Amino acid sequence: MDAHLVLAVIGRDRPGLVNAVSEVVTAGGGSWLETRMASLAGQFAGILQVSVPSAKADALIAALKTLEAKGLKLMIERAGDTPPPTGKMMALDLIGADRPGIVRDLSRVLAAQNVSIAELETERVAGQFSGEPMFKARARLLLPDGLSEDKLRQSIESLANEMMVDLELASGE
Amino acid sequence: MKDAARPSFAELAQQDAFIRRHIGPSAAEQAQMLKMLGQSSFAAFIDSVVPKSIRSREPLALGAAMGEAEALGKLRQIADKNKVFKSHIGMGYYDCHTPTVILRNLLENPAWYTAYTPYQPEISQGRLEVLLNFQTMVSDLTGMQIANASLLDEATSAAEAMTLCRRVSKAKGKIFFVSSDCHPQTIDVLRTRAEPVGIEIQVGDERTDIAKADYFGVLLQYPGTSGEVRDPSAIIKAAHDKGALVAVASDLLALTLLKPPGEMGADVVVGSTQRFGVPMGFGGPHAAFFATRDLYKRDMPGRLVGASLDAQGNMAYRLALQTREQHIRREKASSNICTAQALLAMIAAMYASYHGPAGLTTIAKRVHRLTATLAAGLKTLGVKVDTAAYFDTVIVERAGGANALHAAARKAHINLREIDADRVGISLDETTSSADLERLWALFAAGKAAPAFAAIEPKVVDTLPSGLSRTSPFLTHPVFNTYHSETDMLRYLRSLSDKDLALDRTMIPLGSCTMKLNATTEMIPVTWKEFGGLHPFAPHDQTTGYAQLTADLEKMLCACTGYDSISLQPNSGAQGEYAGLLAIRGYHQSRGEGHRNICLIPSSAHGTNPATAQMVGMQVVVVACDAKGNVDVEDLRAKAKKHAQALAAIMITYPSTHGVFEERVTEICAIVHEHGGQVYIDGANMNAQVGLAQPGHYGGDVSHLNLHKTFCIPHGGGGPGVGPIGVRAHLTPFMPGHFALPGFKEGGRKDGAVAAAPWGSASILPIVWVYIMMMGRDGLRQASEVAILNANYIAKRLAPHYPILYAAENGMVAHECILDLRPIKDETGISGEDVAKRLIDFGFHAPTMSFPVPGTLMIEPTESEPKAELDRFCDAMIRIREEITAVAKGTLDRNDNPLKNAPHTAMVLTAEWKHPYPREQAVFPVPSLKRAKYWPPVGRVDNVHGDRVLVCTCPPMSAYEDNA
Repeated sequence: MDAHLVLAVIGRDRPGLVNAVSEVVTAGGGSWLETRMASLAGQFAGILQVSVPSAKADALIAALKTLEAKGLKLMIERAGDTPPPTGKMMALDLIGADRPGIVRDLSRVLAAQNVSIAELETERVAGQFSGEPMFKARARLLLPDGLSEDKLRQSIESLANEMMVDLELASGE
Repeated sequence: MKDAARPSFAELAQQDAFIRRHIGPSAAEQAQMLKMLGQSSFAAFIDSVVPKSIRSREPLALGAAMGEAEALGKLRQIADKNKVFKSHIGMGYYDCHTPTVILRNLLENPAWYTAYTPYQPEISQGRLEVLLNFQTMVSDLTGMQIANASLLDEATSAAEAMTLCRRVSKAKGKIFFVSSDCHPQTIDVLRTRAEPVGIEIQVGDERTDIAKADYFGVLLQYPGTSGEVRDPSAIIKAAHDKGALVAVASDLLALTLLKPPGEMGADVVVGSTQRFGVPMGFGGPHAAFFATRDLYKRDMPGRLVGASLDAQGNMAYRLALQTREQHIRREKASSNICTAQALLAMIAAMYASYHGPAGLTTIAKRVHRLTATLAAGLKTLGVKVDTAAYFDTVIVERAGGANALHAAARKAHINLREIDADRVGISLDETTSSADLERLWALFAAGKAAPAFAAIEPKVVDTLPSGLSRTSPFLTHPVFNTYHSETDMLRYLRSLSDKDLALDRTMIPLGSCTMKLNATTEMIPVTWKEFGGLHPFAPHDQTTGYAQLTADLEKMLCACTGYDSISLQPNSGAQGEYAGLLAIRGYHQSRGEGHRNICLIPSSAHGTNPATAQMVGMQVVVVACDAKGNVDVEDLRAKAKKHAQALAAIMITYPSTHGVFEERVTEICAIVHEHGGQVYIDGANMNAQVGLAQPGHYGGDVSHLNLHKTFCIPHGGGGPGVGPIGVRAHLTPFMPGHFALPGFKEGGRKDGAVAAAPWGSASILPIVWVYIMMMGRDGLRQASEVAILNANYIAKRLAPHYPILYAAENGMVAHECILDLRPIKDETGISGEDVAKRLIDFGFHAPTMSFPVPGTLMIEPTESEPKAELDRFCDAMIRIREEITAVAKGTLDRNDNPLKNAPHTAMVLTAEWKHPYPREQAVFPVPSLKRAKYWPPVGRVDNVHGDRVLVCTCPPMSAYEDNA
């Protein structure tokens, strides 16, 4: 029986950070499953999922905690038994003129429709030729039964005139 | 005996004088610049930039340069071969009067025609205002909620309506039903556009044939191509009942009298604004329009101007809903349209301001009265008029005698519309006179006495169907009701152009846009009536001047590119791309390899490339680029191999969009050929190659050329553009066809038409002809060389101040260079946008922003900019860098500094000054500005506000009240 650990790590970006974490995971008998990591404004932040034989889980958690001495902040949770939510998985691509509050407005619309966000990536880019600031989001969304793609698109687009929304059934779901 | 003091006659004759007028830096300055770059000679310099593997071994197969007067004289001889007959052909093209105040002060004025697309709103308020007037005019007259700032031509606009209907229709049928009373050229373009994306075109009589069709959308024409005016309401209702959409092609002059389609439930209204003051020009350029419901604004193609506020809260215009152009998934794009027809749209809008609603209605009523009088007179001659209800066009019967009638008409210098052996069409317009009617009657009288106008007209009753009379007001805004005297119009035009920056004021260093000189001598012939006064479907024996011009041009462009044949039909770069990929598709199909549908596109490509591939039904596979923006040849090899069975094409840009001459381009082409694909080389960057390298020789099968970049057609503030394609011989049979091309009647091809007119925007082709004649083989090569020299000079001067991206290993760039602002932004918070807006305070148009790489500025000086102007630009950029350094050091505030607050208007300067830097630094950052200063009319424009509160028609006058 394996235990699944979910880790959130953050620390000042420097070479060898990922290696420091992976050395500890491997030494503790863990197996590195999935990662999302990025360097943002000089800080390196990431989330990862690790599996480890249940018997070794506590020892691995303790070993990981020692990384805090090296300037890494860590949060570790054991994955629960909650069954994954069901529904239709959709890929969302969105582009709009950037403005304060855009993530709040977007997440509010999604919450109001009972949509869960499985993954979300956003960035701010300068528009080609015009140079104006654009907000781009890519997300994987879980739609509750009964919510149509059209309705979701319309409710997001209702946020603003300039919001262009693409929704597509996510592949492999 | 040669006397050193006695110049040769060739020296005195100065046949090549234009070359040094077109090229900015003098020979001495060029030598100085080469020295600064550490180069021993021009030849060595070019060898260090352009790879040997692609270099042409022979000089261009063109003649020597010709003087300006001589070139115009030769062109005059060609023009005189065109015969300008009275045109009654109609079919969407009407003769008209361009008000001369608009002709001279807009169409022939470089302040208007040399401007760029208004991406930088602060220096484009004049043209943005006129484009907003255009949108207001279209939405008023069509009765629709929103209209864009023009499209390429009526046929393209109809095709865009078709694809919009498909995207938003609830009806899931595959059929787009097209009324048989639509213009034939529109139907042909629809067929071209429909087939690759799986749409079936069904042409029929909407009154009898539509009920059985499983359609998602419908196109009607109102009034029809036959002239018949039918009420479309019932068809619209039936379509809506089944969830389908209806587009209506219409005529703005007719809509001053007829109930507009918008009031009858139409979902889209398209058409041409040509007859609003734009010469027929043998087919173009003209501005088409596209109007729709507010509901579909996100799906609307083309550019859209909107009102917003500037940083001080004053009204300002800018391009709205830019996100549509930046759409997320380029390969899912439904349209590749970039270019509009800004210059022509502005003429049409000004024509509406000049005449006003009452004036336009009077013109329409006169045209209609003349048509009714024509019909009445024909009846007295016993001639049967088929058209029951008409505005300006009738079909008349001449059983078995149509051909003889056409022959008699042409003898009298009159063109009628050819329909069949028994019928002819007659269209009237603003220029038709009572004497013209008497001449027409005389044709039918066959020797008998023709009726007199004065005898017929007083008894004539207008025949517009009473239920279809227009009752709603239109063009009520002051902008259409103020400038009716010539003084007012003259000053309005001047006040608008004074707000804008165009090439007549400053260098426009836009990378990838090639804003080079549009010389006056090149522009002069555009408004000659022998080029402007011809209908695109005039008989070929009247257009032999155009035949010679296009034949000459095809030969010249073949010489420049190394291709075997040229099609001049595509009227924008993106449309050239489309025609090019269609040719590739047709070629594969002809060999039984129609299954080939994979199009490889490097990740650095221009957004139109994947959109175009999508439009011809190809599937895009992205090829990686390395850190330098070059195609990753190993990735290409792997993908070409993987898709070898289905590989259709690769689309590459050369030099690359990053402005680099890739060393391995021949290898790239060879790999694609090896795996059965064809090579499309995007000619957007041809300005670095003419006379140095030929895409048709180093591996291309087809390219489009932007005549509005490399070959001097002006940008017109966002169009016209001309995008001919060059192909190698095996693709020649698959170039765009057209029923009006010579040879069609002998079995030639009409399939694959991409534009309404056979030669697209024919009337601006003389610009290119004159340019090539005046430059000759050596001048064209020198232009490319100096374009590269100018770019490298700027790169060298700016390199100590800004990181230059994508230079070759020896530090050289091609004809443009990219400055990386991202490290500066990370350090200081000053963005590319701040630098672009600060340049306005120095009197410059910004370089290209965030293309091809976000957060960068791309500079292309072209060969036409003199060294002094390059230096003025570099000095400004260096001064701006000093200000950025001051921000970094803290001597300028991080947020309240001249960069973040740019541009500074006169109003800001005279208001209470609260900024921590002096006013003088704000507006006179270099002393030379005190002698000549451009004052931006508005401060930095707030794009977000404008998109949230979308206003795409002229705002009420109260909105202009000073808020500062």
